[in-house]
Amino acid sequence: MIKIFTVCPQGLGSSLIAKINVQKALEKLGVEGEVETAGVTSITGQVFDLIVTIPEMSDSLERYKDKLVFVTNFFKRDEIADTLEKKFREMGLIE
Amino acid sequence: MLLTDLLRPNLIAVNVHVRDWQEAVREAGRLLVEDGAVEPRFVDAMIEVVKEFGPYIVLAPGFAMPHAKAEAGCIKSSLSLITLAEPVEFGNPENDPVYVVAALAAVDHGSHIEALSQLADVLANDSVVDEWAKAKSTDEILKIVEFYS
Repeated sequence: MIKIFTVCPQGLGSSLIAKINVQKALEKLGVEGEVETAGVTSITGQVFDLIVTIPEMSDSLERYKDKLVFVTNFFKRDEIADTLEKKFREMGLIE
Repeated sequence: MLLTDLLRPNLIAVNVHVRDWQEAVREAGRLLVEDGAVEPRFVDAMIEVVKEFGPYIVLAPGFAMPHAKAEAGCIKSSLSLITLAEPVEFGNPENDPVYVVAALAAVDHGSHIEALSQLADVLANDSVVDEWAKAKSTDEILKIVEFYS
């Protein structure tokens, strides 16, 4: 079971779209996980394995840099799935 | 709550003329204000978000979704959508220029998720932004939503 946060500055628009598409990607990849949204301030103190976010957030989330995955098109499900697949492989979650 | 509960016919306008991204956000915001969905200060807040955090709201090629926090004056969860007569640059290297702007107002973190999930389904189709941009009426915009939902 993997815990993923989708993070945008406010945690209610883009991160919600990202959450929906990350959930679809998990289904496609057959990885069990829980996805939640957070704003850049509400992520502090949370326990998680990965953050899916946008490149603009990289400075504010610098302290989590090993756990960051970036997306530029929130609606491209295939791209999001490909990016996550690569990361999951690095993490040894999938073969 | 369905997408069409958020995106009501009076919240859609096609072929809107604007000079820059701020005007585009203001026009999309104006529809929300006129509907009574948000207070006028919500529109300023949407612009401030872009100034503060950058043009991340351009979520896909040609498509921007400005939004602000509920506390910024949101009254009723709603989505307005305008198509631009001439595209504008938000400063997003990946996804500019923008020709469809959908302004999101959400009263909380939960109630609009189903509707946004439906929006994600619609926008998962590559051609949708293009089709919206070419639509000639509110009715056509809604038909495209219906087709891909």
